[in-house]
Amino acid sequence: MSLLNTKALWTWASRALLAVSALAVLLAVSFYLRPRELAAIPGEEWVQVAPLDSLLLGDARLVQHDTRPFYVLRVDESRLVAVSAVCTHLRCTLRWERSARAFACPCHGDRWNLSGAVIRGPATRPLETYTVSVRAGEVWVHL
Amino acid sequence: MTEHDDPGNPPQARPESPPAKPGAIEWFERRLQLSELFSFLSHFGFVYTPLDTRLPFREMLRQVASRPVSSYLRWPRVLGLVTTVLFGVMAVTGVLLACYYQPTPEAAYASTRTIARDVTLGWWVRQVHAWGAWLLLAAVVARLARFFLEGLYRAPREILWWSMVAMAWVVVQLDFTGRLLPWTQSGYWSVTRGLEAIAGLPLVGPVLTFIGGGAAVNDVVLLRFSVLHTMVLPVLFMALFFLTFASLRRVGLTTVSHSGGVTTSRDHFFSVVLLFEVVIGVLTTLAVAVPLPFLRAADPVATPSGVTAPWYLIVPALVRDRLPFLWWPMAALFVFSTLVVFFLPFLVRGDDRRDALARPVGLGFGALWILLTLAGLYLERGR
Repeated sequence: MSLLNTKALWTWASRALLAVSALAVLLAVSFYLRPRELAAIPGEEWVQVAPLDSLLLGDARLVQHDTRPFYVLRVDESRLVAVSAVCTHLRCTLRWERSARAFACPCHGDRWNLSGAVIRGPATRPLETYTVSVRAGEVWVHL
Repeated sequence: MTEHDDPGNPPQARPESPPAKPGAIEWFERRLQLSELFSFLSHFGFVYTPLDTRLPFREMLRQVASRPVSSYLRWPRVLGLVTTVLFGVMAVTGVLLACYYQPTPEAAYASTRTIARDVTLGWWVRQVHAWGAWLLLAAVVARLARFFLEGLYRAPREILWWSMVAMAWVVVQLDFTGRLLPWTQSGYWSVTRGLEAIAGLPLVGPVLTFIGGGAAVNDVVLLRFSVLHTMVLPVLFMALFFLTFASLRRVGLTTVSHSGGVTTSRDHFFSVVLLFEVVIGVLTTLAVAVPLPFLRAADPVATPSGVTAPWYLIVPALVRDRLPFLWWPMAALFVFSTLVVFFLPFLVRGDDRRDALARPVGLGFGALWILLTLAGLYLERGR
């Protein structure tokens, strides 16, 4: 019954208004401050890498894109692979070991194969792989 | 509670108020001197009555809320609160801008463009900060004029006057340093023109250019301006707030013509919240209806046409460019009038005849300055 009292109603209404405004401000500020990495929608960004002719067979090219570096590999004449160069263990940037045909982490010796699967730990999650396409002789990666 | 009571001045017993339920406030009260903490916060001016910090927090708030205070929400007293609220808005939006802004010639423009174009609600933050600068400047200048016209510099309000004058200085410098930061063509050249005038001033010129990092705008100056704009000047401004409110508590603003309304602190608090909403509303309206331009990136090689010094420096810049023989007399007059403004409380001391003289003289100089500034804006328009 006390809620139906006019004064109490006003008190609660103003408190609710304050709470809603505070929430709105909090939301707006967090949208403003949201880091780019989190703001980027996966699969929304096309990155131009290089002309196809400049990629040699069996060579991996490190592409320094923002906070998400990745490797583009020409496996053979018709196949291109794009794999994240960020270790899923502690975010070290990976090295391409041509002789072993594997990505190696300089920090803890983790190994991944060409499809991003873990060969050796301590990492447990596979590397992210991206779609590659060639348009007019240019290699594009779909992040 | 009894050990806090002063035997000579017992707090008013309030039989109608229920005994405090142990809640969150009491939990903190046992671990923190909440009343002292609150009294520190109140120095920034949202509570005007004296606080009894010996009382428990809840009790103290209750006392404060019901005590009558003079209303600061009436014209022209409200100018002080408007300044405080605007400064709060500028501080919050400024911190948000600083999250993305990079003070180097290579990145300044691009990072500002990122804020204005790419970041969610970034356009609002930038526009509100830019428009808030104009309004803050207007509020401080209006308040300074009001203090002068009402004679609020005379004893015992000298410190109020000095902090007011210093506040006006700091706001102008905040505006000047802020113009350069986005590294736009108009901002860059406007600051370059302004710096030419400042560097030529006797005595203060060399000191100011030393602090600012040189008379030619480059990467050092940009970084220096950014430090001044985001760290040094805001802290100075807050210190001046503190001085203003400490002085206001002692001497008040009461004059014969503005005895002001009386309200309670509780109503005052809600009025401040309302004022805050009005200020945000006005700024948002301006940001949407009259957005301030953000055009080309600065090009230090190509001087554009139509860029003038900031309006508060247009008279010295104009004299320097077109009437060089008047430069030294004008600079001397400038330094002299600064000294007069500072020592005004000692020159005019409650003597009605001299007070009657000070007002027309001050108004005359003010009008002359406005006329010259308008003339300068008109003359520089076609450049």
